[in-house]
Amino acid sequence: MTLFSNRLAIYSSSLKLTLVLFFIFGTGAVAWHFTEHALKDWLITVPLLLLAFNLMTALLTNKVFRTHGWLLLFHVGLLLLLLVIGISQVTKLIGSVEVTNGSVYDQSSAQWQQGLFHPNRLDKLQFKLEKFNINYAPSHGETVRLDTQAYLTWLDEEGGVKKGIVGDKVPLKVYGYKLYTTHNKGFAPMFRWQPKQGFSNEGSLHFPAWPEHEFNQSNDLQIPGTSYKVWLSLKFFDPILSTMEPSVFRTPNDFVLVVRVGEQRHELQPGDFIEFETGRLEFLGLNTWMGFQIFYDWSLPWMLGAALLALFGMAGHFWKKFAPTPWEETLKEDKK
Amino acid sequence: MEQEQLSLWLAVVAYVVAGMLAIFGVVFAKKYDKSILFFMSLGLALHAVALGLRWIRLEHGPYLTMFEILSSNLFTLMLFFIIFYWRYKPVRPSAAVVLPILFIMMAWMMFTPHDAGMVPASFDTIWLWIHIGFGKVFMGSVLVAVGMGGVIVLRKYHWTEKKFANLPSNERLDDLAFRFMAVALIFDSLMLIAGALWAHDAWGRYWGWDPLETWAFITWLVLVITLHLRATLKLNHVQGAYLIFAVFALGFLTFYGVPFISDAPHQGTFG
Ligand code: HEM
Repeated sequence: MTLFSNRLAIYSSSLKLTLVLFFIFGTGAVAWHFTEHALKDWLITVPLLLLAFNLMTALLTNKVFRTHGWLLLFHVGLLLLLLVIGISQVTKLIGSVEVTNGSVYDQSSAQWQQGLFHPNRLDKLQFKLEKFNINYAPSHGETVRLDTQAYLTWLDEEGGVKKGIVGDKVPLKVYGYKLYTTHNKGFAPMFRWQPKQGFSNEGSLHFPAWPEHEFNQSNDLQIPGTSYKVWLSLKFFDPILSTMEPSVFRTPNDFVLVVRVGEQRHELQPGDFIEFETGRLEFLGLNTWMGFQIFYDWSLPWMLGAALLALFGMAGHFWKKFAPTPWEETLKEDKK
Repeated sequence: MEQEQLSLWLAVVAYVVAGMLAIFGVVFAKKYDKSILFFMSLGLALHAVALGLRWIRLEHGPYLTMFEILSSNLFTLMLFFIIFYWRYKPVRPSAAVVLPILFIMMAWMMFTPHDAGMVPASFDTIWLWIHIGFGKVFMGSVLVAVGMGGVIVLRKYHWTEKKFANLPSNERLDDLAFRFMAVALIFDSLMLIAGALWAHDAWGRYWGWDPLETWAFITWLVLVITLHLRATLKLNHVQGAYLIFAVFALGFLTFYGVPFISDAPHQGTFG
């Protein structure tokens, strides 16, 4: 048994194994790009776990580390770094949500991926998107997106009402989450459904992101509480952004909303409606939506600390190792 | 605009003169050290003027278009090499290896459209300078190591064997080259860290494995592998030199190849 564990320690702490694992790690990182497989993150995770194990056993058994303090510090820093990365992977969350201009955040429309141990509190978030601006500038006959400002009102963790402007680089921070605006935004027709019996219902539909999906501004609408499904498409005729002067993202002035109900085709302007057997669908007007990205990750400062510790050790190691300057002798010989 | 072009052309001419002198010096066993240093510095000064004029004209630094990236990197690589050349007299003939490599960059730069670009919002930060600055020291260090590796490899061939006779032994060159590789690793690591912090600042995530990030990581990993290989497998000097070339080639592809095939320096700057 001891023989076996000794053997294991020797193999698992081997520096040749380190090289092999480095190689596998690199290959894994490249392979990650060429697959969409659901388990693709393991391509990176497994080599990292093996490297951490390799490094840990080497730290315990390799004598080099006993005589080279800087090298030890450096590799301990690396191990800590791997540890932080590991913990952050199982506790982080990354997601996105689209919010209609003038409306409140709705968790049911958010999408996310979370680590196994993430304490999910997305249902606690409460904020309203009052309005937003996206500035564009002309550049070589095209447009470039500049800054975005989203005006938000939200409830903080104590229930206090807060107001502020968030953007590409200034996130909304609540419950450990950070919400940034993104380049995803688009148009959103607003509707009122008035059933013949019962209360009316208002809501909006988000068309695909603009200008990314400029040529696919259409979507299906399932009228709530009914079996009606209609197909909608937005056609507009005035350019939103200028290639000549600064401009902002806005709704078009000259547009029609094409609605297809079965075989019938309607073209609606704000205020127009379509009659159904059990109610009436009114087109209230065109609005916009903004896409937010949601992040939860506490690891950054810790990662930075571990990385700087490792770097400090590495610098010390090389400083010591390279203090002598043997090539200067050639210079002296030259001078003689 | 014309002054800018003129000083850039003159800078390139001065660099080329320095490079030719370095090559002649090795081939004909002559010492042109002072002239080489002079022409390199002259080129650098003219290049600084060209960069400065463009900066004033466009009101942003040289980091947006391919041309600007090539130009500013050529400048910093030259600066780095001049300092090295001035400080490390015994290894000066490695200029005959380094300067021709820079010729390739010069040619590429001159044939790249000199248009202006627009500054994305995420570039308005101190991280840009820190990140890019570290990256430049990294590439500069590897370039210097390539010079010494080049001498080691050229010595293998009969017709060049004697040309580098005055330089230190391969062992010493290898030692010095790997010190620069160590410096390179430190600055490459710093560049990745600063880049990750910047990405966090700009896009809310510090590492997203976009193509540039992946290639920068592969470069870092190959650099680490190189140092580990040398420490564990007792490589000979020629093998060490080839590994240095590999790191340089990867670094070069990462810096200039990846932004070339994808639309923005990082995909995060899209839209
Ligand atoms: C994961 C990232 C790693 C990096 C960036 C890294 C980097 C380095 C560097 C730069 C050196 C100094 C080489 C020199 O003095 O020229 C070194 C040495 C060493 N590394 Fe690592 N290392 C890593 C992981 C590991 C792992 C997983 C092990 C586990 C076996 C390990 C074990 C060693 C040992 C024992 C030495 C001393 C080699 C010697 O001088 O004989 N390293 N490492």
